Amino acid sequence: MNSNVKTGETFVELKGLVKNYRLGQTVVSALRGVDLELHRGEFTAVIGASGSGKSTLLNMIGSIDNPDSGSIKFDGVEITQLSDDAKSHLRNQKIGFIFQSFNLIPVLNVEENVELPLLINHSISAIERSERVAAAIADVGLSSFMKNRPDQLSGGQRQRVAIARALAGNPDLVLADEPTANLDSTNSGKIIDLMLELNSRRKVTFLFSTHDANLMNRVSRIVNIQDGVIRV
Amino acid sequence: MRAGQLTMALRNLSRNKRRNFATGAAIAAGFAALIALGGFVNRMENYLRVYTIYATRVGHINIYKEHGFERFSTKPKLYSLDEHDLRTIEDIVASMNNVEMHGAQIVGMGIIGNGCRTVPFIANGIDPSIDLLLRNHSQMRKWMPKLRDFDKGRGLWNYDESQGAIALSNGLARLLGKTRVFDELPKDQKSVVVVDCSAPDAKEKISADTNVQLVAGGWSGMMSALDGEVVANFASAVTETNNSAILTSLKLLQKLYDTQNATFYSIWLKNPKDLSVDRAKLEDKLAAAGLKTELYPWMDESVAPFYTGTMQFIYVMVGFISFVLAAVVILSIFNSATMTIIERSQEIGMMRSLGFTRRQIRQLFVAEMVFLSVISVVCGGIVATLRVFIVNSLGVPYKAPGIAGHMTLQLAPNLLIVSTSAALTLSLAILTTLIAVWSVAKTNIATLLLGSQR
Repeated sequence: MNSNVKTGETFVELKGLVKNYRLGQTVVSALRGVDLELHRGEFTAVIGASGSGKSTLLNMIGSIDNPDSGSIKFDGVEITQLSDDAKSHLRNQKIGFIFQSFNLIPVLNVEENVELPLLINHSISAIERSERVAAAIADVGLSSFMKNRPDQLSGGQRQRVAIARALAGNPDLVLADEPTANLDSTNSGKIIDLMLELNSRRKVTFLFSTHDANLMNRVSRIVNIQDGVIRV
Repeated sequence: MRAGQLTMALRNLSRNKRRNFATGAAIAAGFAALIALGGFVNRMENYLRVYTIYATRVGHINIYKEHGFERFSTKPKLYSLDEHDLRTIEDIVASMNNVEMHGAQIVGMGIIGNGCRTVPFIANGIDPSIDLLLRNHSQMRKWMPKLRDFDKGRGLWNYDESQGAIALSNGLARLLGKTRVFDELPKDQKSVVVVDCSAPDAKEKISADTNVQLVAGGWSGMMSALDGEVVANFASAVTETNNSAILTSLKLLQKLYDTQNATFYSIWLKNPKDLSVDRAKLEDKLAAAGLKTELYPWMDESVAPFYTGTMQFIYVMVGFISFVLAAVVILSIFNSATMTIIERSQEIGMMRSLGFTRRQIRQLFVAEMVFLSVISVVCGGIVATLRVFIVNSLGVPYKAPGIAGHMTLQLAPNLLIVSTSAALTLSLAILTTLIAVWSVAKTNIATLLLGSQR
């Protein structure tokens, strides 16, 4: 658990972020000079139409894509200048990811899927690893499904596993790219409830993209992005 | 890699079972084929090596008079080892620890007749007691069990020098019509003189006894002739000499060529691995004794052209087949690995998002391929063992170029061949997988998460 989190402190800072994609002869501007600050403990939704740049923004913050220009500071470190291995280390230690399509490994059970990011963190002992995994699975209410494989779970349960996997590493930030897009409204609500609860209990910062209008009134902050630019 | 990552790699094999089975089958078949090829080469190499060293009595090291190897046939007296040379060599060789057998030999040509017909021959004269040892040598028993026995009759060592015992190659015996050997004749059988070679019973008369006449130019320049008795027939192994080879005692040939000299001196070693060391030592000792000699190891192209030529051909042929085989296995692995990687690109993207480095992604795929390869190699090993057993049991005959008669298809893989083939197969699998996964591990993570590589 992040017991030392100072809620409200700025820890991610984006300045003048630009990202263009080349599709054949056409250049598509995904981000056009984005400035953004994220504060610890926030529960922030990024909204916008399809192609507005939501996913690109999350990818940049999560260091899984590189901007053409601009700066991204994570805990005061300029991550655009980091080596690939250093970025991998950052993602493993400080960022959790939740994907729209869950992205669980089908041959691993719930426990093993959640354990996956911890396997490459050599500073964690085997005992601590299993404790963290058990705690994360308990947090998402799947303790009785530890040995089940993803194909034995419902969509909502799979997304819970993905959330547990994102939380197992005790990240500072969880990035969720349309986490409810593949779920029905009931399950969507449950997932958002769970994320809110974890945000409150674990003090983990959540940044997620969504189309779901029902979620807007439940988040602490909304970032509206249109045509690669953040609108106030 | 941690146990969890290895577990994941192992379990990933259960995904897309059919493709993994096909890849594994290609690896297993390739491995089994490499063992079969290696076993064939090993069998041929041992067959020809033993044939050269023991069956044709070349020995591990040959000592010739200086320039003797090239000039002996034109000036045999001048370029052969004389009595003094032979005594000195014998003393030196006898003092060497690694020497198993040694002895002088004569190689010579001439014509052999049956009273009606003469045929050219190539004779090899050796001390019959050495011939006995050579035929009973463990290497002969292991690799050439058929050739160590005479096809008919008994060895030269069973007969007194005065009897003029001669063993004829099967083809030569047939050409001369000498279809019987000494021991098959009644004890009171006398030589049959064929007066009219065109008479209907001439053939029968020729085969009635075992007497032959050898005629050759003596080394002192005079023609020389002597009688001999055919005591045995043998298969000469190579086509080239099957119609002309004679084996007899050193003394008989010395008598025929009117000399006390020998063409060369052969040495058989206990441990041939030390050949180069023993050769160097021997060279030093011979030089110190004031002898002007030339030493040839058994695998020298000059003294063993059949061995070196045939093995070169086999190595080129097997090398080419192995190359084709490796290409098929590589393409199969590459195809499978590429398909798997494309299918799992989203998963790779997810793992990269979780913090897996490029190296760790490569390790995961390589580990999967190592598991698959190890399983395949074990299966391939079982297939290869069965194949070797079946092939060796069937004893399939085949005609090999230059070899007299039929050879039997035998495969003789050994631990070195199996381990080398396994190492090669695993290396190819790892290398091919690395090539296939290399670019995808470098692909932008966001692109991978979209589910396509590029």
